[in-house]
Amino acid sequence: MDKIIQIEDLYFSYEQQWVLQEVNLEIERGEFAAFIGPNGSGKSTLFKLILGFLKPQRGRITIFDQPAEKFSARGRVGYISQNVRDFNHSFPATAGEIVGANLYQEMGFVKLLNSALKGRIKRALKLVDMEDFKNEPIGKLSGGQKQRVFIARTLVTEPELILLDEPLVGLDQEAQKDFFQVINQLHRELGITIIMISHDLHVISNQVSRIVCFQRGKIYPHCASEFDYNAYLQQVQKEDRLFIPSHEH
Amino acid sequence: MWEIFSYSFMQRGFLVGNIIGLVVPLIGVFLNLKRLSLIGHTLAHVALAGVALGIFLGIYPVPLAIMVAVVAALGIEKLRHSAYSGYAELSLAIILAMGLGLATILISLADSNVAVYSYLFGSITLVTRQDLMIIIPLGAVIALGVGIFYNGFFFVAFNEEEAKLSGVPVKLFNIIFMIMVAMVVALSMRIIGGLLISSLIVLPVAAALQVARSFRQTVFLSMLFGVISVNLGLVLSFYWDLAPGGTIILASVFILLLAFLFKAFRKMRSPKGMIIREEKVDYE
Ligand SMILES: Nc1ncnc2c1ncn2[C@@H]1O[C@H](COP(=O)(O)OP(=O)(O)OP(=O)(O)O)[C@@H](O)[C@H]1O
Ligand SMILES: [Mg+2]
Repeated sequence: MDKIIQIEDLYFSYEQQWVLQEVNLEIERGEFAAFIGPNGSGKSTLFKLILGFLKPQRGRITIFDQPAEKFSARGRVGYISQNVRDFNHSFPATAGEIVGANLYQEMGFVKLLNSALKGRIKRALKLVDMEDFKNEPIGKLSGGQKQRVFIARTLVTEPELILLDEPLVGLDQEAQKDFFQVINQLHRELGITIIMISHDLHVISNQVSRIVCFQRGKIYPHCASEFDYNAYLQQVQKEDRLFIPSHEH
Repeated sequence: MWEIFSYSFMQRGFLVGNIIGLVVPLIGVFLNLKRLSLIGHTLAHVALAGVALGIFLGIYPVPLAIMVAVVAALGIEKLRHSAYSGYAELSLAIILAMGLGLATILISLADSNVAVYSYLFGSITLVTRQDLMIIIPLGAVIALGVGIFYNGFFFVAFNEEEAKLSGVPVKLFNIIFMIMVAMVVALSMRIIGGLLISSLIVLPVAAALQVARSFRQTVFLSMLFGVISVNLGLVLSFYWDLAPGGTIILASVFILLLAFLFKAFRKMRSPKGMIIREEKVDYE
């Protein structure tokens, strides 16, 4: 199979303590994987390492057969960060303008949108069923609608891999259902590889094809099968009582 | 009626004023959205130190003012991203204090209060040929620069982090942008005065934000309001013999009030559904 991401014996720390150690992980094309684990277990950090924004102290990360820190074809990877929604909500931009910003690399030296690029903005918004909101100010959309716009924003570069950092936060059940509908469509119909971080085990486990567990800087790449994930939960709760899964939905 | 244009100093005033009226709010849109609206105020004080130095040395002070402002702007950019990331206004306050301290000393050394006064409050009669030679080309460069990098600047203003991820050379853009800001501020001191520049950076944009429904509209309306303010202000200043800086700013305050009224009017007329949607609480 085609391995999109390969991580070998990776160690990473921001300051003294290892945030991630001995990480080995492979993600194949077409997977829909979830990263779960307690707060501070290094999930977002691993995304940033994969994207090449952070450099590991030891080990190697390869993405599309290139070292992560040298990877430059940004458009092939879509990323929605954990704090994507803490932008200034009165920012005077429309959904279409926000989506178009991601086409930056596709614009020429004079950074303007031609009609082909405008067509791509429309198509991306259509994929998330938001084409009617193209000219609406982004701040006036609901939380779920904003999120669709952000997904459209990653789609506009026609990525092969999408990394979503806690996309379910702030969505009600209905919106979560809509979210998975969109994501499943991208996964099944467009064949996009998807990795999402979530704390919502309950919701996630019915949707994804694989769960990767994070705990105290280590990861278990096949939580659902090799490492039973209920056992994982119990162990984590016993060990540091940090991780309380949200079952109350 | 047209006697106002028969004076060559008024012709120069209008020419410079219109360039400033276009370029300052254009830069102002991005500054305000980056939450750096007070940068104009800061850089004007620093540029004042450059002006005072020029007067003290007995040379044409505008290039010096530009140079000093550019250095200060780069200093702000550096502080904003290293020592005081997260408190952008702190880096402004630090540079402002340094500029003002330096300016005060240099002004007392230069001992030419009249000249300094004109840079603080602006003056049309003082716009010289020399000023035109520097303001016209630099104004054109700035307008062209923003035009070329429009979408990049937009992305950086919306979210620096994400822009970086998408391959926008954020650092370079911020530096280019800061240099433009410094040039704009130093240039506008001549006509609207150092103390009033930040108003022209803020007010037309604030009015545009009330009315506009997209980023493009915001940029366009800001420039339109800037130009209207400048022309209205210059006419009033000529006929009533008032300081142009003051009349320009009051004209832009007036436009801002009109924008508030317009918005209130639009809200009143919009169907109920719109109002509910606008006031919906965000639960994130
Ligand atoms: N910029 C940073 N500088 C220093 N330490 C950091 C930084 N970002 C994260 N850390 C630390 O690294 C560890 C892992 O953080 P990370 O954000 O990857 O966790 P996470 O698994 O995404 O947690 P959460 O579920 O809360 O989002 C934490 O202990 C955190 O304090
Ligand atoms: Mg995280």
